Amino acid sequence: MTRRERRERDLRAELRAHLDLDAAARVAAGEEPAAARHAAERRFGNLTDVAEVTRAQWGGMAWQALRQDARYGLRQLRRNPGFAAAAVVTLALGIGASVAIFSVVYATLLRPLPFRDAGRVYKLNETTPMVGRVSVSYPNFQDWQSQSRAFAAMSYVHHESFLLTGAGRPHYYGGLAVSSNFFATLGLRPALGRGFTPHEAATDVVLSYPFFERQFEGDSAALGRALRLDGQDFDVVGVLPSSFRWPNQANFLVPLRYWIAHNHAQAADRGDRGDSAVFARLAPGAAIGQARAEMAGIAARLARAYPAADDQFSVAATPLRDAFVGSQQPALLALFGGVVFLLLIACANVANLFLVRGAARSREIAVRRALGASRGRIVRQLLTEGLVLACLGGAAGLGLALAGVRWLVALVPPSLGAGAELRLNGPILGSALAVILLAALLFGLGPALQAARPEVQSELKDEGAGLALARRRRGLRSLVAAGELALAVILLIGAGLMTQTLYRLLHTGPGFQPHHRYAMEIRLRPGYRTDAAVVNFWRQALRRVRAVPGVERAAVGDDVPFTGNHARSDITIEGMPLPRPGGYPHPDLHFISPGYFATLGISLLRGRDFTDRDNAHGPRVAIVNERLARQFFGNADPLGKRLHFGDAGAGKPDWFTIVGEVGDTRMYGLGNPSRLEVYLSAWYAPDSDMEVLVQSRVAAATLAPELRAAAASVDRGQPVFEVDSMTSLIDQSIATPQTTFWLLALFGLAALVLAAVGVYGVIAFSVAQRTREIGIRMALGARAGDVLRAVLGQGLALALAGVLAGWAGAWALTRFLASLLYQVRPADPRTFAAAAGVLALVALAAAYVPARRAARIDPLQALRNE
Amino acid sequence: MAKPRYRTRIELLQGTLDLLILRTLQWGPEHGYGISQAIRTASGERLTVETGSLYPALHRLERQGWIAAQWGESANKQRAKFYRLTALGRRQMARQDSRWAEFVEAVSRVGRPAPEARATPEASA
Repeated sequence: MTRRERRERDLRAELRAHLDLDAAARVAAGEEPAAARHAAERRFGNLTDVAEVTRAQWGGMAWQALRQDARYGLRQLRRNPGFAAAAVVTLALGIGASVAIFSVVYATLLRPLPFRDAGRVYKLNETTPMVGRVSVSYPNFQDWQSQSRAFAAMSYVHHESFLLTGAGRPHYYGGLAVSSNFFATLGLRPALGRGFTPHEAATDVVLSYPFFERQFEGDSAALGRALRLDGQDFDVVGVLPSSFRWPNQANFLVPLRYWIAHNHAQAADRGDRGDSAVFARLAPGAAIGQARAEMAGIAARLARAYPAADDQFSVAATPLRDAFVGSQQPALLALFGGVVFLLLIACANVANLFLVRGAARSREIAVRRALGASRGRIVRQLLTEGLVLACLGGAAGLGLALAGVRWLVALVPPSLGAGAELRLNGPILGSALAVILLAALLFGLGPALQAARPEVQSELKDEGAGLALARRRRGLRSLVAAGELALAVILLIGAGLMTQTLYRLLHTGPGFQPHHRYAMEIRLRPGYRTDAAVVNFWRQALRRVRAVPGVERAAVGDDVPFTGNHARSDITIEGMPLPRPGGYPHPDLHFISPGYFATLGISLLRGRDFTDRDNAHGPRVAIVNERLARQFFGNADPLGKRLHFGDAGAGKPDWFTIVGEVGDTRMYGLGNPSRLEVYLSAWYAPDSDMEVLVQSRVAAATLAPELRAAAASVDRGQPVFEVDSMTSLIDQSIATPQTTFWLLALFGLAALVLAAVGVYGVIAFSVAQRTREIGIRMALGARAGDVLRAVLGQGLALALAGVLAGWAGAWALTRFLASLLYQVRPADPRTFAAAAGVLALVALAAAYVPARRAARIDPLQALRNE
Repeated sequence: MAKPRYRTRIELLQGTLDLLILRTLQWGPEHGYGISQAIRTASGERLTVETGSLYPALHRLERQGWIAAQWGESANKQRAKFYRLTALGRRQMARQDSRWAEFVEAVSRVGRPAPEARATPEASA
């Protein structure tokens, strides 16, 4: 029993007791029991009325009125199940989609960063005019740290992967080597144990929470235990909070001192910018503009002092959040914009439904007003009905969103999620609530105000007198429908632009043959100390892999297209006019084995491939790509020309002779232009981290274990990473435009359907209202065809208004899509035209049904009905 | 829609009825019927309180914390809901009493002097 029910029962008992007491008193005074009872009841008055006015004192009056209105609204909805279903489904779609997308946007763009006062932390990169942002060399970092005043603290963070042994299969994990002030700089406190101190042992390790849970089952006894990384025991001294996240894989942190001790040469080389970044916290009172100016000054001084390493290098400071969000922001914002449009369309549609129904209910409302209901009361009633609908739609929408979030997690590429966990939480539920209230207002208020207009008289009189009012209502409904069409046009144009982008990306040749090609990454475990040992491993591995049944070709390369970063270097070409330092050509370098081009299907245009004799003892040879050859040799034959690495004048040059020219590839993804490329023999400068590339028609599932076994047969303790197919790598590289496309297309389709329903509703209602007028026209000689044309014309006018407004909106908005587009302009006229055409057709189709109904009106019937 | 009949009357009575109830309760707990009888008797049959005014007033006073309710048994063993004055209600009664005295005093100064009970013709509704 609820509190209210208990109170209700109590009240009844109290009032009945009053009657009993009165009757008993009357009996005591000598009256007949029956007569006494009667007299008491007469004296008491209407028990129900008394109960009601008493109940009114209980408080929560507004709440009660709301409940009453809500109950009335629900009754109204039950009476019109078609209307209710249409409105709830429309709203559920709009609210569900927007909440689901918002939860992704929130997780990636808006969720607070897990650092104290994160707004004052910046990521610092070095920049060059040739490449843009690059990593920071350790000596430069040291000078920044000692010279900067605007930044209170700077921490050097180096990304490194470590081989974990002693816990199951050997496996590489990404980690960070950080300077000891990392925790203070970022404003981060370990959840367990401690962070690093300036006096920490070089072999302390702090675990990320997920790694701690996976490796130590979340047992705090892990503190003090050992973790064997790269064959060295590290002491677990702390665990990061579970909220910690990082743009790169960060399973654990080790002191930077450990990295420096093992990479003396790199840490001392000012020109060596490895895979590292600097994170810096602004000093109290310092502004970022001031800090940027200071850093530019420091960089300029360094460039003068160390021209060989630092000329033309400067510094970029990016807010921490941008470093986390990266390149996914435009796609997410585009999707969010799209889903907001969808929500607006859904609201507009329901508003239109309400307007139509408001017209149908105008008599009911007029009667209620005539009976004394105030204008405010009517508005409140209608708003409450809107709220009831919004709540029903919102509940259904939240259900959809819950399902949708799960689907989005599967659909959204990890790069887009940026390691974010997608789930409904406080801010998201809050936003859903806000959306529901906003929706209720958006579609409830207009109709409510209109319905409550003080034209009581005219509504109650015959319909003729209400014509002006009816026309005004039609105007509002048309406006709403045209607005829906305009929004649909914008969404269609967005989806159209993404379609073209995707089409062009998919039809851009990657420069190699991706089908039936597989890549298996192997990072040699520590212990291969000499180049000869490394070369020996790769040659043996290749021999075993080639022996696997079904393998047609195999080769190794330090990187495959679409993955990872590539080494780059300045080069000097023999005989070229010498540029300024920093202005040298800066091609990608690839270290490959013989057979690489054949395995990947890269065309050899001139000269020859490498052979096994192109090793440390053989002549120094290089192969260049077509773009480099054209740029520096024009139509002349590049074979026999020479180049060396680094800038001219830096010691005695080590010349490489060009022996081959190959076709261009899209190394950084289909959407990025091909670059200058130089290939060197892997046997000349062997790398311990390479990809084994395989051409085979055997299915990946069968092939992968065999390849792994083949590699393991060379060295049992050697971990092997995943085997990827090249086609999946290409798919991954276009996952963001693909996801964006699918979602925008989905939104566009939903928008089209909703807008069509909107147009249909407006025109069908107007036909219903004008039945008599149409009847008169037909009685006066108008033919069915004329009526059909007139009604269709109404639909076409709506479509035209929608298209024009939509074009204007798209013109203003699609430029924000520019960074997502490939080979198509944001204001692509063909896309604009196509969207308009599709929309006009749909609007006409939606108008056709009521138009045919209008054309079939029997004039006699229409006039008799009045 | 709620019926407006009693509502206007509550407004007319408010203040006076509250004071009458509080005063009645200062002699001890009493149920609704007892309160209405006491007011009638004490006013020399001149004031009768309608149930439609009495019960809303009782529930309002209870909500304001001036009186508290409890089920009990009447003198002739009938179950009834008894109201008693709370400390807050006692203070409130004192305040209303003095305001009432001021009001009567003020009214009696205007024009001819009037007997005390005649000053509240609305209360006899």
